[in-house]
Amino acid sequence: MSARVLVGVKRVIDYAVKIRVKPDRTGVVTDGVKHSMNPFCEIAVEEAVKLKEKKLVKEVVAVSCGPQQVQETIRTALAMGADRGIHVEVSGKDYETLGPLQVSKILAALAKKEQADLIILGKQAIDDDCNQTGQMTAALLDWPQRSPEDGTFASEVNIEADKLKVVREIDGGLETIKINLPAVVTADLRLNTPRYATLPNIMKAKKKKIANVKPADLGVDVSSRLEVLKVDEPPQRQAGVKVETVHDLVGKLKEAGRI
Amino acid sequence: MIGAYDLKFRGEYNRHAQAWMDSVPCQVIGSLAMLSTEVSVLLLTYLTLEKYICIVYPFRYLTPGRRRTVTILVVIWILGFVIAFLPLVCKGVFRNFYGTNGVCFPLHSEQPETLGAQIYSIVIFLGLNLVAFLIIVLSYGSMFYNIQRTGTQTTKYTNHIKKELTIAKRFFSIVITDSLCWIPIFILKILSLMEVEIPARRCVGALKAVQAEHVAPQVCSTRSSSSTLSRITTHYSVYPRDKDPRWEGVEMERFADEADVVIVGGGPAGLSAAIRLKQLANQHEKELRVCVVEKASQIGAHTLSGACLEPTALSELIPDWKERGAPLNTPVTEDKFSILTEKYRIPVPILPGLPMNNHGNYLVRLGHFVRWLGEQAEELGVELYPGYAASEVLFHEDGSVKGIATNDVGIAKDGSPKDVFERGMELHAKVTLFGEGCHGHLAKQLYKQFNLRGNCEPQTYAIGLKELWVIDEKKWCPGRTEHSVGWPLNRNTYGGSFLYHLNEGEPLVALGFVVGLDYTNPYLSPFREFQRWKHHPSIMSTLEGGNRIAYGARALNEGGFQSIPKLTFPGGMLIGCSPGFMNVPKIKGTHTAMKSGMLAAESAFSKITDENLQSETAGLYIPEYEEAFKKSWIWKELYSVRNIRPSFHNYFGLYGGMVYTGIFYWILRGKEPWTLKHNGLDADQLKPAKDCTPIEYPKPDGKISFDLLSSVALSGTNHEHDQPPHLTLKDDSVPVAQNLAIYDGPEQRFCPAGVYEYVPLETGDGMRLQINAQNCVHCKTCDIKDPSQNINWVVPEGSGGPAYNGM
Repeated sequence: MSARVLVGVKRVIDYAVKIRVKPDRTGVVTDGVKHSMNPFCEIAVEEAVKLKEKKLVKEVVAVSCGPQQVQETIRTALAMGADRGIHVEVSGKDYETLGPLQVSKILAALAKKEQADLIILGKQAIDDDCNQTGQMTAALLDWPQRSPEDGTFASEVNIEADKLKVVREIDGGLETIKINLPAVVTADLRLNTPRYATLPNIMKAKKKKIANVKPADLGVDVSSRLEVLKVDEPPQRQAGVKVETVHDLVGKLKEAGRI
Repeated sequence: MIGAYDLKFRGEYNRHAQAWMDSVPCQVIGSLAMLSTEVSVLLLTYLTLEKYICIVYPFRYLTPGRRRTVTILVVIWILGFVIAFLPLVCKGVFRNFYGTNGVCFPLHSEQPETLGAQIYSIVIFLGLNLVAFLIIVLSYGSMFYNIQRTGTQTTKYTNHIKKELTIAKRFFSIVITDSLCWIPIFILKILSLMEVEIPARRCVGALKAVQAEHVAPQVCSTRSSSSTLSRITTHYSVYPRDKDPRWEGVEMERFADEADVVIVGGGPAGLSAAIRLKQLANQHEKELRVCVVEKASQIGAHTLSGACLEPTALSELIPDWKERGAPLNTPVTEDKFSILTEKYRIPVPILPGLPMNNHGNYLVRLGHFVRWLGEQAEELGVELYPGYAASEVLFHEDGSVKGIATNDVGIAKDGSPKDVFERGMELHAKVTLFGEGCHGHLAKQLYKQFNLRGNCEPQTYAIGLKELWVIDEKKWCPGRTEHSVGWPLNRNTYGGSFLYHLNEGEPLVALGFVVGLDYTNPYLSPFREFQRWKHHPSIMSTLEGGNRIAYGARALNEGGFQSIPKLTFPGGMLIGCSPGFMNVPKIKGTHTAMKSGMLAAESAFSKITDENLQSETAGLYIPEYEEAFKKSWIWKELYSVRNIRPSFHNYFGLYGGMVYTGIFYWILRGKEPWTLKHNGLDADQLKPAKDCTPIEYPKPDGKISFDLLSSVALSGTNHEHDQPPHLTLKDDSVPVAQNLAIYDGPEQRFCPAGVYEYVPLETGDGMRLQINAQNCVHCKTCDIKDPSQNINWVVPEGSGGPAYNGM
C-alpha cells in the first residue's frame, strides 16, 4: 500500500492553564503561556502512526499552520512517529484571524500537492471548539461523502482495499460505514490512547525534515471574513447560600423570582 | 512475642519488614507457631479417634491403657518438634522457610523460595493437616450417626454413652472452630498451587489473620493494622517492580546516549553552566555535547522567585545582555523597608551598605529571564530537553556518577504498567551537573551516597508564596520595591514580604510572602498568613481594584554559608540552589546560582578537554570547582552575611536579629570572628499541637484574599491523573499515627497547594490521609517540613507540575 496520510496538528493553550482575556478584550493572552498539541490532534497522529505500523499506509505527514513555535508541535508529532512535517507559516495579524475555513483551504491545497489519500484530523480544537475544519476540507476537496459529516467522529479506522472502514460513535450506539478513498476522517476522544513522545524519539525527531511553505505558495488567501468584536470572560459564579429547610429554599426561590 | 515486636515496630513496620523476616526471633516464633499448630492438630485427631472408637465400638475398647496414651502423646510431641524445627536445621533445602511474611507463619500462599520449601509446605498443610481434618470431620459424623442409631436400640450403656456424648459435644465445638480456621487455608493453598491469581493481597491478609488467630489470638489484632490499610503510596521507589508479578515480562531495557556533560535542571544555574561550557568550547573550537534535562514542559515554567535580580553574574556571562534583549525591564528606582504592626507601618531607613539595598538591581519575572537564558543556550548549541525529568542517578562500577535516567512514563495509579508504558532514557556523561534547585530529590540521594553533608550544618529552609496582580494604573510605580517584616507573623517566626512594581507593559505587581520553615506552631499556615498579610492597610491600598492573575509557591534555602555541602564528587557537581547559595538578608540567589554554574563549567571544561588527563574514576572528579568557588565572590559574599539569619534565633526574635545586623553587619561587615549556628533540621522544630494555640485566620473575601483551591488553579499545575502519587510515603501508616495524632496534620497547612488532606474513613471511625498529587506545585516544602520525615518527593511523569508564566 502506498497511501500517504496527512495529519493536521494544532498548537493550542494547554488545557490545564487558566485562560486570561486580554485587557482590551480583543482575544486571550497567549504570550509566555504554556502551549501543547491539541489533544484531539494527538489522537489523529496516533491513529495515522498505527495505520503505518499495520503497513496500511506508507507515509505520515504532519501539518501545522502558525508562527515559528508550531514547529515544536510538529516535532512532537514526528517524535510520535510521523515521517516528516510541513510548517505552513502564518504569523502576525493573519495568525490571529486564522480560522477553520483558511486552514481547510490550506489542507486541501496540500492534499492535492502531496497526493494524499487520507486526511486525519482532530474532531475539534480545544481553544475555539469549532469542529469545522474536517468537514470544510472534505467539501473543498469534493472527496466522497455520504452524509454531511461522513467519516467524522471516528472511534475505529481500518483500510480494506481502496475502501476505508470507519466505526463512528453516534447517539446511543456505533455505526460502521465504508467509504471510498481518498477521504477525510476526524478523530473522536475514544479512538485510541496516544503514545508518549519519548526522549529518544524526540532526539530522532530533530533529524526529521520539516518543510516550510507559505499560504501564498499554495495559492491560498488566508484573509478572514470574520471580525472579532470582543472576547469576554465567562461570568463569575456567585457564592451559594446554605438553607436550613425546604421552606427556606422555596422562600429564597420565590424571592429571586424563579418560581 | 509477636505482640512485643509489633509494639517496637509500630507505625514504621514497612521499614523493618525485610530485616524482621530474616531475623532469628522471627524464625523461632515461626517454628513455635508451627509446633503448636501441628501438635494441636495431631492431638485433636488422636482425641477424636479415641472418642470415635469409644462410641462406635464400645465393647471392644472401653478404656485405653494409660501407657499407650502416654506413648502416643510423646510420639505426637516428637513429631511436632521434628516438623517444626526441620526447616531450621536444613537451611540449605528450605532457606528462609518461616520468614516469608510478617507473622512468620509459613503458609506460603505466595510463591515460596525453594522447591524443598514448597513441597514441605504442601505435605504439611495439604497432606498431614488435611488428612487430620478429614479424619476429625468423618469421625464426628460417624459418631453422631451411631449415637442416634444405638440410642434407640439399647439402654444398657446409656449412662456411659451420655457422659461420652457431653464430652463429644464439647469437642465438636472445637472441631467446628478448627475447620472454620482450616478450610480457608486449604482452599488458599490449593488455589496457589493451581497458580490462580488471588485478586487482592488484602484477602490473603484477612485469611492470614484468621490463621494467626488460631495460633495466637494477639497476633491477628496487632499485625492487621498494617495489612488492612489500603495503599497510599504505589510508587516503584517504595515498592520495587522486580518482585511485582504485574511487571513480569515488561521490557525494562533503556535506550542510552552519551554526552560530554549532562545538566539536571534548566534553571539559572544549569543554563549558565551550559552557556559557559558552549562558550568555552566554541572559543577553543572543541566539540562538546551538552544536554540539559528539565522537568517542566517549557524552560522557565517551574521557576518561581521574587525577583529582584543583581546583574553581576549575568554581565560576566553575557556582557551584551542588553543588546540580546534580556528581559530586565525594570531597574529599581525606589527602595522601601518597613516593620508592620497590625494597623501601622514603621519605615526603616535602608542605609547604603546594608544588604537590603537594591540600587543597580532589576525587578524581573524570573521565569521569563530563564526562558531567555534557554534561548541563548540553544543558540550556542546546547541541547535542551524540557518535559523530561531526571529520576535516577546512574553509577559506574567504581561508584562514580555515570549520568542520569529520565523518568518512565505510562504507569497507572496502582503502580501497574499501562499499555502505553515507555521506559525512560539513560544519559551518560563524563560529568553530570546537578542544578535541581532547592532540595532536589537527586541531590538528597547524593548527599547520602557521598556523605557530602558530613562537614556542614543541616540546610534550613523557608517557603515563599507569590502572586502576580494587575493593579489600577494610578497606583502603579514601576521600579518601586517594598519589603516588610513583622505582622502577621510573631517576633519569633522568621519571615517577611515583598512587593515589586514591574514594568512589563501592563500595571503589574509581583508580591509575595516568605516564612522560615523553622516555625514551631503546627497550626501555622504560610498560605493563610500570606492572604492575611494582603489585608494590611499599606498593602491593600495598592491591590484594591486590581486583579490577581497568577499564584505559585516554592521552598528556598536559608542555611547560607554554614550549610554549604561538599560540592564535588566523582562524576558530578552540585550547582545553584541545589547546594544552596542564597544570600538570605539580600533575599537573592539568582546571581550566586548563575556564578556557581559558570565556575563549575569552567572547571569541568579544562578537565574534559585535558588530553593528558588520567582519571582515577570513570566519572570525572573535579575538586577544582570547589577551590574556584572558595576564591570567588560568592564565598566572600555569603561569608560576610553568615550570621544574620541565625541571629534571629533569640528571645527577641526579629528585633534581636535586626539589632545584631545593625551593629555587627553594618559596622563590622561580617568580619566578626565568630559564626553563629542554626537550630538544626526544620522538620524537628515543630512542637506538639497540644502545646500550641490554634491560629484563627480570617475568611478570604474573594477580592484581596482567596481560598486555596482557586489559588492553585492559577498556578496552572497539572499532572497525568493516572500515575502513582509522586509524593511517596516511606510508611503509609505514619501520617495518621504521628503527624495527625501529635501535630494535628501540619501538612494540611504547610502545603501551599492542598495536596495533603485528612478525610474521615469510609467506615466512619478515624481518619486517613488523602494525597491529591495532581495539585502539587513542586515546592518541596512537605519533604522538608514533614515532622516524621516520612514524605519523599520524587519526580512525576515529565512535563507535570505548574505552568508558571514568568513567576
